[in-house]
Amino acid sequence: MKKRVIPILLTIVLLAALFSVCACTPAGSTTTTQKGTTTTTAGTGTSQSSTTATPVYPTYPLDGTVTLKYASAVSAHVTAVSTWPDTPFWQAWQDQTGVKLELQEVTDFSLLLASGDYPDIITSGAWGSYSGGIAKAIDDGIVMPITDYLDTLAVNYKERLMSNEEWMKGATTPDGQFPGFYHLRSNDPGVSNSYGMIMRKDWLDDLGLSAPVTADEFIDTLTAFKNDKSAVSPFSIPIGELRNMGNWGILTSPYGLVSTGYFHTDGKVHYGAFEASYKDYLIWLNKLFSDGLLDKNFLTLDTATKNSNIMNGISGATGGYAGGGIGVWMGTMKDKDPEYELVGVGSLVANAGDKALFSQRQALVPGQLSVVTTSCKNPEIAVQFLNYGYTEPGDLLMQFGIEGKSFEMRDGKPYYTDLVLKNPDGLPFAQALSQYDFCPENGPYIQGGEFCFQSYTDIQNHALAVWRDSDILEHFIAPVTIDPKDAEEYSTITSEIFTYINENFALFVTGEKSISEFDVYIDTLKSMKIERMIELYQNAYDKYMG
Amino acid sequence: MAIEGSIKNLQLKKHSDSFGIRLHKDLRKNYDAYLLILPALLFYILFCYKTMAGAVIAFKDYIPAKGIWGSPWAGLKHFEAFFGSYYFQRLLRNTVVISLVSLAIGFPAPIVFALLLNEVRNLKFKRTVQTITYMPHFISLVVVCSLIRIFTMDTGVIVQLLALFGFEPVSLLTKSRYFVPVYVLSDIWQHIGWGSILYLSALSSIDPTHYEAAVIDGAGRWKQTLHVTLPGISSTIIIMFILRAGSIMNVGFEKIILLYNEGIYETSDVISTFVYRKGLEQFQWSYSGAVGLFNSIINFIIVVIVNKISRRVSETSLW
Amino acid sequence: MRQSIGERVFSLFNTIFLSVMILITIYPLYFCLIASFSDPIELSMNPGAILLPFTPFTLSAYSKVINHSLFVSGFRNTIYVVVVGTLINMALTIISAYVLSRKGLMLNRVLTFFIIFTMYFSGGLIPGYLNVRSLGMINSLWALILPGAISTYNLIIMRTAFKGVPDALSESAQIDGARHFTVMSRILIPVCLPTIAVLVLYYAVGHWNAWFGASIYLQDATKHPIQLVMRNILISANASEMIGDIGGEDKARYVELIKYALIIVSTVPVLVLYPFLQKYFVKGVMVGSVKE
Repeated sequence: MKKRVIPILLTIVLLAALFSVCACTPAGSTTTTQKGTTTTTAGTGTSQSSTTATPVYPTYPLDGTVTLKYASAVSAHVTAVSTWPDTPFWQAWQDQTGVKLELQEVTDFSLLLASGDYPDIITSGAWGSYSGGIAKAIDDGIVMPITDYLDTLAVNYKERLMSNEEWMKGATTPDGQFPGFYHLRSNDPGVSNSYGMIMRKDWLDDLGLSAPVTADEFIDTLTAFKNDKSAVSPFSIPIGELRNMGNWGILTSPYGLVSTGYFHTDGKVHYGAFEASYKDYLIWLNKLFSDGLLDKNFLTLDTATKNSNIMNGISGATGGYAGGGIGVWMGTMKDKDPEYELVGVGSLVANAGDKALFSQRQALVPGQLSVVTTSCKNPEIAVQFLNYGYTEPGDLLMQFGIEGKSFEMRDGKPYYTDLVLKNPDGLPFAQALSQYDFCPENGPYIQGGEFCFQSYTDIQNHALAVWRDSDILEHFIAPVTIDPKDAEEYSTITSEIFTYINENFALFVTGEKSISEFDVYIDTLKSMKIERMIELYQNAYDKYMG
Repeated sequence: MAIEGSIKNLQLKKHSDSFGIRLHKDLRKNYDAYLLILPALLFYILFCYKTMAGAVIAFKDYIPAKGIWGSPWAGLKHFEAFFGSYYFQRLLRNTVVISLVSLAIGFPAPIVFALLLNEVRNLKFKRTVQTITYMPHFISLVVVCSLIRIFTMDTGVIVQLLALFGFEPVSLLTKSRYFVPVYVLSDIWQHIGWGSILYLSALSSIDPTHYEAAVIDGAGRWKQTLHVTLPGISSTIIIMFILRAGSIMNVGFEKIILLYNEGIYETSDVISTFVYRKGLEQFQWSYSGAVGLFNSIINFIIVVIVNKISRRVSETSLW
Repeated sequence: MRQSIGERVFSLFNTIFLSVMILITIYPLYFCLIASFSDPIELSMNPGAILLPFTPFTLSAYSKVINHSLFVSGFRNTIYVVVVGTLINMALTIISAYVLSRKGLMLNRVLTFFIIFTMYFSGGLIPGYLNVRSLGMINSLWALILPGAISTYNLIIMRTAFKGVPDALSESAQIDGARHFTVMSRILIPVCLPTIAVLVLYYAVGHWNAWFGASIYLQDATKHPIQLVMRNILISANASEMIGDIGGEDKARYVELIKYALIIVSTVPVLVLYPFLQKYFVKGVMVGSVKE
């Protein structure tokens, strides 16, 4: 059936889409596309495209003549071993999709956008911070939304979105556009949460202590580390991570504060650093600092030094990931100090037995987005190319890599091979795997939990379990998009406010600014229109919740 | 003599012609000189003036897809936003403070150093001091800044040494009051030797008979310095001062972004670092452009003023 | 010459002061050197000034630095930029300084202002970037060379040096019918060699130390010059790693040592060249810059 549906009924907008259907899909694949897909944002999980004919699935590989310029930052896991285009993954990605790729490494995202002349595809986690939001990036003519392709060339992506309400909401702009292909995450441990407090288990055991639960116990533990284990900086963590610990509520629950960032209680949006209880949190942190428990150099500390501190016994507590923290540190130390052991510690609480209010959580749509740009000459090819990560074979490639190399199928289920799990060249799992797949880096695919399940030790799994044990779902706000009409106002307000909050956080913790000036701080925030900022966020949140 | 006379005649004759004719003659006579400078002009047009025209971005709402010229006009919106910003005063203050302190201490330091070196009679020792103190100038900023970060930690050498004198052992770059001293002193550490070269060479070109005359007049070493040495190198000092003044608002932002952190923005955040953050981290291209342009204008005004004063006072000037 | 007591006291203090200066200048580098092969744990447990390295010695840091692929490419790129960049810098600077130093040219005042003006006004970061981009130099080492092909500051120094050469020298040649290029290359350049040597140094050191331009113009890590590679290793606080660590497990332990080793390895080449150039300094920087 090589017939072409006469496009009389279709709007001009759809011509391009139709053309691509004719041009790029093989025989027997005709359909009527509908602009109505933009209304599927309700995301109830039921398909509203039932009015259309059966969806058309792109078939891969595509015709193989098109070269796309693909711009992205390159994972450090990859570059530690080779360059991306030299990896088996890069080759397989091209072979399986039938698209030739030319990599453009993104060094500065802002300058790339300012240039006005774009590669075909841009993958970045920073789209959300574009002044005015992703919707503005569409208005400004940078991003070509894929809304019109959802029932045809991006149909796999759409079907995946429709299987999960949070995915659907996170991938849609307030006015119902689909800007591109978002990195999606499953709700599994290690995927939706992966970060928390980490302590020296062997030290705790030596001192006859159990992992601290309350704020006071935390101080006692650190003091014991300092006195009895001669830890120079018992709690060593860079400022950025310490702030994140607040945003993730890891340290704030003892003060009745859910998080230092956005959270909600019964649908009402709050900003933690503007709450009264934030003051108590700051007082406590200041005590940690002035008692020499928090690293004196936390403002200038870099990640590398943080890592060496927790390994060399300079510190006994820090924050970290299950993989890049616990996994790497214990792996490094196992030959040098057989006693060395770490343990994950859950979010602190007010009283023993309480449940923490909050913990670290990755949104299921963390905001990393791959878009087709307006400069793209072959948008249909680009859309299909990105759609591949959401198909079944694409899923295997992105998460498991290449069959027979990085994984093998047993009982219809993929398992990582020893080539990556116990790399003969001694490469860490993530580095070895990065040569064959996209995971663990964010990208245009869905990240599930197998990556962790198949590689993590009991200690790591235990850490993930205690880290996520909180009431977070009662307070968590997935990243929402500010209404485009408010976006400029919101950007203007936040660009000053966030600088002010971050700076004052540092000042209060070090005691450079006395806590007695907290009221002045609150008043200044008010004069910077923080209440308006929260209101705009509330509006966006209400709209998001429908 | 005859040759000189004929050149003078030539010049006189030139002046009687109209401008157009004189220009024509000049071009014909010196066409090769103008050809020689053509590549340089091309460079200035292509990389300086063409970019300068782009500063109009400050008066636009820059939208990349439309280009600088196609983007809608925004008037003075971005300037107003900057002047009304909570941080305006602080940025201006920090920029000026860091510059002035650098100027007040960093500018005379190599001069004093050169004078001290000049008094050294043991040539071997003098050579050694020179060789060693020039060295830091050749160490890159990235390395110098990481040295600074390592040495000013609470466990760092500098802090530990100061602690011997009862100084509180804190990481210097976490306290806003120490930022300017760290910045300025490390600059001096790096450039004092190199900066003194110029003055040393000026010193060596002072006519020795001046000193002899001064000695005959009974002047001691101090008086010689005051009445012979300093006047002898004054024109060097003035030119260097004008050049330096021209960069008063251009506090080295590369060094600051390698050193600062949010805990010490209070004293370390300057206009150029602000421009950097707005333009590169927050996508506010036009706003960033406006702040940068404001900085340039102030800078230019300062240079013109300094140049004028200098021309009047000492007849030394840049143009 | 007899010295008064005051003068003798002054000399003594002057010698002491300058000796202290030497110590202050050298110690940081000495510290990096001994720290770079000390035992990492001993080193971190002993803050403050150290005079001798801690045992057991280790060269792990150096082997990690030298085996780092970007380090080698970084050095190669930097050398390329230093050599090619400095050649272009000098050619343009000498030629245009010569022209601007001539007295007979009517357009010189205009040209001088045209050039000096650029010292004080620039379009700023974004227009500068767009311009380099529109010239097609993104991700090319030319982006590190051409936008800074002339330093106006150095141009002024060169012009002043040329102006300082007595007119009689060049005039006599011109009377003999020599064109400008000949006058410049045969007469002025030989006279001003010391200044030229110093400018070579200025430009070369500038290229050697530059990192910011590379950080915005160059996308491929393999094109980065050594300073940018170092900045990314030495001064970066991004905690983006989710799983696994950059550069293998063992590296994390030696990270402090690696910093010191990097500093040493990247500084030594300059310091080795340095004594050979030093003789030009004093004579060279002259800089009759001085007389207008």
